[in-house]
Amino acid sequence: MMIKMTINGDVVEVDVKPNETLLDVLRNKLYITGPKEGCGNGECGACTVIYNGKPINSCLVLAPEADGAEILTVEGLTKNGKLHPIQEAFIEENAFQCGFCTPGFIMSTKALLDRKKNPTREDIVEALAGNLCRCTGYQTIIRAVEKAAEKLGVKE
Amino acid sequence: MRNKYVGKSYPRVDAYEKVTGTATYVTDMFFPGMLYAAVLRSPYPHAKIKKLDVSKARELEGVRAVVTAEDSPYRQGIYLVDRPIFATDRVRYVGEPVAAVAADSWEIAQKALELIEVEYEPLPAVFDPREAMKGEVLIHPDLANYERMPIYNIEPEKNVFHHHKTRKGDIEKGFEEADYIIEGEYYLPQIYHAPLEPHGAIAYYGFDGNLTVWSSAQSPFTLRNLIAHAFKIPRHKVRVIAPYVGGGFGGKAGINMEGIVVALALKVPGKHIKLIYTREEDIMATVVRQGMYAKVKAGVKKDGTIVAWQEEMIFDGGAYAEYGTNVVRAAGYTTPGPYYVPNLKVDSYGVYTNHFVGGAFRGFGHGELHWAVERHMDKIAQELGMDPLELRMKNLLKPGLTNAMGQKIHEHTGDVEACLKKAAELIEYGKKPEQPKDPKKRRGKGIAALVKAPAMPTNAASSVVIKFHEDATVTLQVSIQEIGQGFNTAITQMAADALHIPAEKIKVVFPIDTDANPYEWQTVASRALWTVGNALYRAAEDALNQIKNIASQVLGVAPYNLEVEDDRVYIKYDPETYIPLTDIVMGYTYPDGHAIGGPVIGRGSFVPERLTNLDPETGQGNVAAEWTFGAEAAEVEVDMETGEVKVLKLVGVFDAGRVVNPMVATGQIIGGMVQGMGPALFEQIKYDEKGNPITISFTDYKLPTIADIPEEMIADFVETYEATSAFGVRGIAEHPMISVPPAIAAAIYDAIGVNLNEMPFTPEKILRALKEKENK
Amino acid sequence: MIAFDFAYHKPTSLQEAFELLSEEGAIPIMGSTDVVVKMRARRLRPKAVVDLKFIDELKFFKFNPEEGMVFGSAVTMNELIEDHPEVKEHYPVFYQAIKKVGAYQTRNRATVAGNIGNSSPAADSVPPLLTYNAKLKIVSKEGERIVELKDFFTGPGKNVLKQGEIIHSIIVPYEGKSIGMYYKLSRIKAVDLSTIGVALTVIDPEGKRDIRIALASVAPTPLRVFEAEDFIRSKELTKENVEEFAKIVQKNTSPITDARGTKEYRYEMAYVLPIKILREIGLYKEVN
Ligand SMILES: Cc1cc2nc3c(=O)[nH]c(=O)nc-3n(C[C@H](O)[C@H](O)[C@H](O)COP(=O)(O)OP(=O)(O)OC[C@H]3O[C@@H](n4cnc5c(N)ncnc54)[C@H](O)[C@@H]3O)c2cc1C
Ligand code: FES
Ligand code: FES
Repeated sequence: MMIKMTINGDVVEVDVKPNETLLDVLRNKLYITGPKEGCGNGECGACTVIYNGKPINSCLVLAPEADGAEILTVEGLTKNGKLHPIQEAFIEENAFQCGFCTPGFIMSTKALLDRKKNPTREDIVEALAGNLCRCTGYQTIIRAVEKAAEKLGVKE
Repeated sequence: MRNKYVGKSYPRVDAYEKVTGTATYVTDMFFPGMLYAAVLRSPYPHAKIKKLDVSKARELEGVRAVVTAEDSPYRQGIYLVDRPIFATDRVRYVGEPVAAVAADSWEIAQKALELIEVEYEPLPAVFDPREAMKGEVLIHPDLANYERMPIYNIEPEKNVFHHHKTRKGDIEKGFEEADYIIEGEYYLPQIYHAPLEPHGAIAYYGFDGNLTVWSSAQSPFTLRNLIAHAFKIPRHKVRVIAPYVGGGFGGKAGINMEGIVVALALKVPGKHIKLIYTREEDIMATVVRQGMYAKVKAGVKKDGTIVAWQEEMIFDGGAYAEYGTNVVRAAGYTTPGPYYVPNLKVDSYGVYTNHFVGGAFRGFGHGELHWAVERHMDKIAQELGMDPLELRMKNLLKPGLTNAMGQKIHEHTGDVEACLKKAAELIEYGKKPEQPKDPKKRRGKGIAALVKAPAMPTNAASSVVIKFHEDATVTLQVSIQEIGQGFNTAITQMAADALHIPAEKIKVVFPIDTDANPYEWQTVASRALWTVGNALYRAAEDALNQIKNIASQVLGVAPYNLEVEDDRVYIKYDPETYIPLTDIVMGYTYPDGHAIGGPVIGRGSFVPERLTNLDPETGQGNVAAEWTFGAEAAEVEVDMETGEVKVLKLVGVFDAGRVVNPMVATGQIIGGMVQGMGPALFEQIKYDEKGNPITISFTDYKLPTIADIPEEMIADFVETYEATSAFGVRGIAEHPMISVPPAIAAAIYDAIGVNLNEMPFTPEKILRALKEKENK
Repeated sequence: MIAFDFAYHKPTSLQEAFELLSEEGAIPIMGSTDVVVKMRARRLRPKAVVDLKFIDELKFFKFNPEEGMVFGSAVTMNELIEDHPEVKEHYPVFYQAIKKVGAYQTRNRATVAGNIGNSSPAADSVPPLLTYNAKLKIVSKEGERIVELKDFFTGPGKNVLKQGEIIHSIIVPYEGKSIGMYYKLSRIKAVDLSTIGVALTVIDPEGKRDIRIALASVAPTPLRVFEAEDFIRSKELTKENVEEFAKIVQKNTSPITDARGTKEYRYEMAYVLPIKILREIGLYKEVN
């Protein structure tokens, strides 16, 4: 069935089947490969996208449901070829190694900072507990989120 | 060599791609007309295949190829060629590939799997390597006939794929000299690497007979070699391309699941075939860390001097050994780790069971060996009533002494004492932790040391090619894979210093392509900066010499009077006189048009110097090229009612030689410590009593999350420059994972006075241990 | 990707949903956080899924002291705890339990109705709801019925719903101020199912002090232990009484061993945790 979504500001129409997930459609049909599949079970957060304003696991959404949805993926964060402050913060704080989890973390961070300007460590932990990272040990990720909050605060 | 970039926190060169989601991993690659593969797997831990009929699957519309062992009767393996690509007469673990399908879509491939008919006859299985050694069930009856590197010592009638022996000094005399004999037993179960990117590969077999494989591989060249060997294709016709790897930790070293897509590709020339493992497949059917049972007997003097150490390590190698053979060997020749013991007898056995396949895992046997050694050091300290740190200090492997294989430790080998001291300082060792108000919660601190050398063949080689371009920028061709460790960044810094040019003018060629890149053994063993650094040094010398030789002709001065700096080559005693590098690096052209020289291409190779194999009976020899020492410490809080353990603080200090990039190195240590904490507290591959795996998804195989990490984690360094490295560097990548579990176990003892000798320290085990203590 | 075919429906009214659900093999879904996982593993093979989250009638929340809290089955867990401060204020134990379900991303999709509908013994939202005497409004083509939550579950993954029935809303009476704790023991600190979960709720702590207790992952269904509640009612919280209370709780459990923990540990914790919670919420001072 045809569905229509707004992805990173673009209206996209695509033919989907019920047994495909939103993640399958983004990656395999639209070649939006920023969101990754780390488990397909909602456990790792690598597939996190912002869906109608909220971070969710795109691997748990059946594709037809997404008809009419507004979706933001990591690809939608850069503007005019420039990095988003969250992305800058991830670089400055060395908040990634292999990078496979990074798009998911960045989207969870974006959603967190959209709802809380000055998150505490506890807020950060709550917002990012659904994103697994096997490489970094998370310490630099926490710092990157704090730094991103600062950057965004300063900008406003 | 200049000293401008090395030692600084230069930003990662892979940063932009990774934070924007544009970094390409194999799973992100698509080709027109690509086929999708799916694999039929064994539901039994051990069974005979009585019948395998794929005819219905072949007939399904959209199916392009179905392969089984009949079509692809090959085995693979790096050190021991024991692992068939598809099970032949029998299956040996749950998840073992039996057949594979390539179809127009993933769905069709899945449907085809359901049409394959297999009849199994379950065979008696064995899950405990100690049982397996009795040889009642033989998992590889044909082991004696398998191809293997001669340094591995098989005992086929006992399911043993390698038996390593260390015999040093006189063990009996050692025990006679001892005032105390202290014995202990230690265990750890299999664990899973859990790279966030599951294994994946794409294969393409051209009508011209050339095979290309894109793989999430740590070791493109070794992968090429092993594919070529298994499928009997000449090396030059096999091309491996390795884009970014989303975490490896040893699990993507050597060869893994690539043979499956290759077997399919050979059937359908002209088509790309993609196979990306699901998380479940990744857990079941790649490799895991081997489990281990250790028995230690130490002879100790009253003052704490250890005079004898006898140990038996029995590794649960799983159904196939291949890479795991060398894990068993490395653990064998390194025991007793960072301590000097004059009289040693160590037996390390790799044993087949019907568990998942064991293989390389960050630490490569050292997480296992240090688990037993460091736990036993604590036990000795307890029995002697000595402080555990003091006991360690007393027995350290210091310059002038020899290690287990008889190698002499030099001043430049590294300073384990300094690591321990620093770690002790950072954890405030000796200062009692502040106890929580709740009397049911108790805090404690623990410390442990470690040592590890690269475990590699004596001739594991590296090479580097440096190409200058018209504008005097450089591309660096080197075939260590960027798996997250930051290699491409560090090597850029090192190249900039070696070539005396700005780092911004250097690009590391990526992805690695075995057709274009120079040879590299593997991205394993924490050896990359050390080995490639040495090759790079030579390649840079080569390039600089070419530049100086051309300039020498133009300027009429001897090459040794010339120096390269940033954008020019100048006369040392008259720096104002120079030629821009742009006029040299493509060859110099005189005003009248005639040209000399030509494009500057530097090349450098390196093999470890003066290594020898070990004596098979004594384990004496010179197989380790450089050693990295370290120390780790933990502070924990234990809830004595529920048995829950909270790690409050972790500290890791490593003698890294020269630290190339402090930011990246710190990241390695913090990440490694958290990866070490998982198996200490909860990670474990579990099987039910029938041997069926029950932790085959992230729902049941848990990793540390951001909510599990200690609030405080500190990484620090000691810098004893490594004399065998042109840059003074040595490896630190695997090391941070190694001694976290024993440090946590020591901290638990400090907190509540119980010894945990089996990993993981689940709440249940803690409570059981507390009860046993009460009952005593 | 799921390996088999099925139909997807997105009704916008209950009537439409009833029609679709009357088909054999059709199941309702909400956040699909349980359903997609099970379908991927081929543990569930529906012919059709009927997505109820677009039915406006199921997306409401109200609270007043007389009727208590009533919310529609399509309200997500995060909406419940982020948009409605009444939840935290009046049902603190329920609030704590919701916060411990899965990850933030999960809770943006997961619903309490789905947690109940899935009927896992490990469902974290259920023990607190049991202590608050929650009821379900169940609707179908045939009409509606109210089922007490305590009577809803019949076994692991099993409940009293008949084909075509939908959980319309969850009704949680308001019985006055409450305090308490949801203690979730799990292997890791976040995004894990409970090895054991204990909800201890005290209604009117300064007055009649009505202690209620319910547990997850210790029996084939979530378990409320009325016997223990009856025992402790209007008794002083002495060491003896509290220990007896805990013993009764423990005695009522029938745990099993699985990947998360053994039956022995669960059984032991069924005794330890009630006491621990009473101490942590300040009602019981003794330390043994
Ligand atoms: C990563 C992850 C972590 C999780 N962690 C936890 C946890 O910590 N604790 C916990 O308890 N659960 C956990 N879960 C399980 C799951 O998220 C919860 O059970 C959730 O509440 C299910 O809600 P849902 O809306 O997604 O249900 P769905 O998946 O949509 O449905 C679940 C079941 O309920 C039925 N159903 C749904 N709505 C209705 C209705 N209105 N009427 C009748 N039947 C209905 C469905 O038919 C299905 O059988 C986790 C899941 C994931 C993926
Ligand atoms: S892929 Fe969606 S959570 Fe792992
Ligand atoms: S950077 Fe590798 S998983 Fe996070």
